[in-house]
Parts: sequence; C-alpha cells; structure tokens
Amino acid sequence: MSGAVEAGASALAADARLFAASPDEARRISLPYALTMRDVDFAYGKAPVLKGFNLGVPSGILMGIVGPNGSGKSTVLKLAAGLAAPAAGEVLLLDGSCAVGALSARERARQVSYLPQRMPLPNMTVEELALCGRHAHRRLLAPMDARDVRAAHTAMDEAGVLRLKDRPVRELSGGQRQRAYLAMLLSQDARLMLLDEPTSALDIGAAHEMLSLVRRVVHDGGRTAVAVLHDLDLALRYCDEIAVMAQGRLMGQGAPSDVAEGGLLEEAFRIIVIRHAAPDGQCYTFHPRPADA
Amino acid sequence: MSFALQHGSGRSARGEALGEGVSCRSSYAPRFAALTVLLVVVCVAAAVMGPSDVNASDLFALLCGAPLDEGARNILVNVRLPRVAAAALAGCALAAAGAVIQGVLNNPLASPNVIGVNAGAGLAVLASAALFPAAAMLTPVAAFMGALAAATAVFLISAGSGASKLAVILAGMALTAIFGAGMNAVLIVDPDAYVGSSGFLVGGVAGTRIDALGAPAAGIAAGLAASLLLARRLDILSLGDAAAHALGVGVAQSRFACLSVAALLAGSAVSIAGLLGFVGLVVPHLVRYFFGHSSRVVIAASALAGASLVVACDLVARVAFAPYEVPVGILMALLGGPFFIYLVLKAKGASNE
Repeated sequence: MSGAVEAGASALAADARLFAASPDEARRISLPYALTMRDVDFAYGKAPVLKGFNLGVPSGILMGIVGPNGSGKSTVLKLAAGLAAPAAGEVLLLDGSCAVGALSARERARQVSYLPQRMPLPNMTVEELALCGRHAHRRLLAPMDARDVRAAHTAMDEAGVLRLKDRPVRELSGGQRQRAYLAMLLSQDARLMLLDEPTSALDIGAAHEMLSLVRRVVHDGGRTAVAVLHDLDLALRYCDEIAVMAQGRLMGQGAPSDVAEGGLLEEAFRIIVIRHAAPDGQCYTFHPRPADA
Repeated sequence: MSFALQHGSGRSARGEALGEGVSCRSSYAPRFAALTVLLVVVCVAAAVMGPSDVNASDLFALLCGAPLDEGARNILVNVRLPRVAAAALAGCALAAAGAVIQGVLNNPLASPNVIGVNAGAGLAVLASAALFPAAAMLTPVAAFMGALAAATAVFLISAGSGASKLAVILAGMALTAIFGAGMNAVLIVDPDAYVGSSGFLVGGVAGTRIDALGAPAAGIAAGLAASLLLARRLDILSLGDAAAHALGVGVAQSRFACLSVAALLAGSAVSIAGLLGFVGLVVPHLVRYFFGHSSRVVIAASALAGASLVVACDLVARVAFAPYEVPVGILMALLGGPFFIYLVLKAKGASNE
C-alpha cells in the first residue's frame, strides 16, 4: 500500500518538474524510459498470452512492436494503457517510478493515451472529438474553459485536421479519421501514446502520411509513442526502434536496420529478409522460406 | 523535394485559425426558446380547454392572484393544473430517461418502456401498494427501486455477452413480459392495489392529486440535474469502452451512474403516470433531428419536448373523444408503436455491429 503511495508521489514529483518546465526544458529533463515492463505474465482465461515479457521504451522515440498474429502485441498496449492488469510482473511509467495500476483513471489518462484498433464511429465533429481528449484535465463538473479549447485546437493543428474541425467524424475519409483520433490523443497531452495498428484500415498513401505524422509529433513534441504495426516495411521505415515479439515473449529490440539484418524478423516470422538500396536509404523485401527449410 | 513538399501539406494550415478562440458553433438558444414557448402554449391550452367553462383570463387571474369565480378556481386548482403538471413532469422525465438510456446502451432502439424499466417500476409500485396500502409515500421509492433493478438487469445482459443491439431489446421485452405477469398477478390477488389513478397499466394522468406530485417532482429535478452533469461522460462512452477508459473515464461506474439516474427519472414518472410508453423512445430521436447529437443538449431538449408532447397528447385524449376520455398512454402507444417498428427496420442493417 505504502509502496503504491510512494510511487504515486514520485510520479507526481516528476510530473511537477515537467509541467513547471518550458517545452524545451521538459525535453531535456526527459526520463530515460517512458514505459518499462518487467517479467509480465498475462492470460485471457487459461490461455497464456504473455509469459515473462520484458520491454523498455526509451523516452522521445517512436517504437514499433511487430510480431506474428497472436504473439501478444495488442495485449502489451492494453496492459500499458491500464485496460488490464498483469497476472505477474510490473508495468511502470515515468522511468519506472510508478505502476500503471497505482494511478487513478484521471492520473493515468494524463500520462498515457491509447488509440484502440477499432472504435465505434461517434456522432461528433472533429472538434468535439478533440475536446474529448481534455476529459482528464477538467475538474469533475467544471465546464469547458478556454484552455481546453486552445489545447484541442493546437492538437487539431498538429494533426492537420484544424480545417476539418466542424466536419462530422463519420463523413471523413479513413486517413482523415485516423488523424482526427490522433488529434484527440494529442489534446489529451500525455507523454506516452499507444497506437494499436493505426494504419491497418488505411491505403498505403494514407498509411505513410499517418506514420510520418506520428513520427513528427513524437520528435517535435517531446513525446513517446508505441505503435503495434502489421506492415514490416512501414515499421522499419518510420520507427526509431523496433521490438519483435513471438509467442508472448520479446525476441529482441533494436534499431530498424539491426532488427532487419540481425535475423530477428526472419526468426519471428519464418521469412527471408532481403535488403535493397533505395533512393532514400535502404529498404527491405520479405520472402517466404523455401519449403524444405 | 516535391515529395517533402507534399508531405508537408498537412501542416500548411498551422496557426491559421488558432487565434479564433472559442469555436463558432451554432447557437442552440433560439431552438431552446422555441421549445420553451411551445411548452407554455401547450400547457395553457391544456389548462383552459375542456368541457367545463374555464378560459385563459381565469387562468391569468389565478396566476396573478386576482379574484375569480369559485367554480373556475376549483376546476383549475383541483383538476386541470394537477393534470397538466403531472403530464409535463412524466413526459419530461421519460424523455430525458430515454435520451440517457439510448446513450448509455449506445442503442437507438432503447427507451425506458422498451427495455423493461417502466415495467419494473410498475411492478414495484403495485407490489408496495398491495403490501403496504397505508404507505402512499412509499410509491416513488418503490418505483425507483423497481426501475433500478430492471435497468441493472438489462445492463448486465448487454455487458455480459457482447450482445447485439437487437438482442438487448429482445431481452428487455422479455423482462417487460415477466414484470407484466407480476403486475397482473398482484392485481388478481389484490384488485384494489392501485386505485389512485385510472389507467395505470397503459399510462394516464386523469385524477392526479397535486399533493402526490411533490416527491416525484423532487426526484425528477435531481435526476435531470444529474443527467446533465453526466452528459459529457455519455459522449465519451460513445467512443467505445477501451477509448473511454483511456481518456480517464471509469467506464463501469459511469454506465451504472447513468442508468441509476435514468431509473430515478423513469421511476418517478411511473409513480405519477403509470406505464406511459414510447415517450422516451420517440422524443430523443425527434430532438436529435433538430439539435444534433451532443448528449447534454439532447437531454435538455428532450426534457422540454417530452413535457410538451405528453401534455398535448393528454389534451387530445381528453378533448377529442368527448364526452369519453382516453388514457394518454393509449394515444402514446398509437404514436410510438409504428415509430418503433420504423426504427427496428432502419436499424436492421446496423444491428450486428
């Protein structure tokens, strides 16, 4: 009990430090790890999903999580978002100073934002959606104030949907819609953003746009993002670091080129990765293994 | 280079509209003013129209405290005004409860009578009247408890199995049938269980006494205030449980709080007007057509529009078939039944989401 209180107190101290600082300073005070998961076990019913899972997400980067279907990628995000509690192990925020489960719903929402893979389409305009992100910053019964409106507008601007602010979310294209949801996450103003397959419903052009936008808000805004991605090419292209999962465990994490060339992807997905020279650096193609291998 | 330029296009709007401050959302004030005027007009009409000779100047005199004919005063104070007040309160509460329930279950087919909340309240009212005939002040409390029990049952059914929207409605109808059987059983055992109001089972406000309105009115006022305060959470809940949780909303607590408030509203209405159906279904839909989807606005406008609708329907039920009088619930069912069928047909495509 006292452990939780201490963790909460040190989290608040770190918070105070960061909120007192200007954005530039805040980036310099940045904590080494935005998210730490240690020896985490988790099961749905009796089916184990994560077994002794470990992950450290350095602050200020876009981390991609890749892995075969059923490897537990989405579960990692759910645990980090506090949607589920681990059966064993720790899920820690703010450089390991506080457990996700020890925070109240509002405190947690000020630290971590989360975009589920699928959401029901709301009957809202883009601006109303962005204002939903302010919930954890508003007092229980207080009306919306100018600060919330300003934060939501800044977020819509960053996500490139300010021009669409009076449009119903239902009427947007897939790419615009994902950017509107991203605006909601940005107005939530949490330093850690969790994105569950943010590009899975998008065409390739919109997917590139979305991930370059995420990369930009991470790097320009002193934020950290963890994205579960299905498309290896997109993951290797946009993420600063990649974590590879298989069967509920972390197989390894590292820079995209190390992950691609060190055999991690080949082992996890049972494929062959071939590197090519490309105009903007290098790219990879992925091929099936010969049947006899 | 052109590649980079294209990717930067999303940012070209940066800063453009930041100085505008508060959004230029269209104002709701004229529409709310229109609803308020409508309610006043309908209430005045309901107070002065009828077989007895009372006119608007009598009503005006009564409201101003001016002297007026004893017969007219008697009719206004003891018959017409209690009836208008009862219809307005019941309509207001049921429509607001419907708006809350549709929001919390994220289901356009839901309303207090469709999912069995009214029937739960009705059974509790009849049971308490049969068991404790002397304790009339128990009625609103019993109605609330019954409504809450039914709302909780529907909530557990809808949350338990990821049931489809139509499945929740069907479960609610099954609950309604069960509670209806209970009510009939009580009335067979004790036919005098509810003599206070005619037409309890179909819903009616004939013969309402003003002193019976105090406690339900207080419950309705509290329920309206609470539902307006919870409205922002309803909006966030429409994003789905996972997103709402991540935004800092306690999902289960919020849903239960909203359903409790809806039960308070519907229970209070049932203790006034019996099993008045379809107000809570029809009104929020009409309101959304004119006011959009913001929960706070929909709840407030539904309360006003629901009051107007029930007062107007009660007036028609009282005057149109003179010298006979129809309980207002029958007229509401004639209006609401076809509308419900229309909604079911419309929702068919979306029901398996």
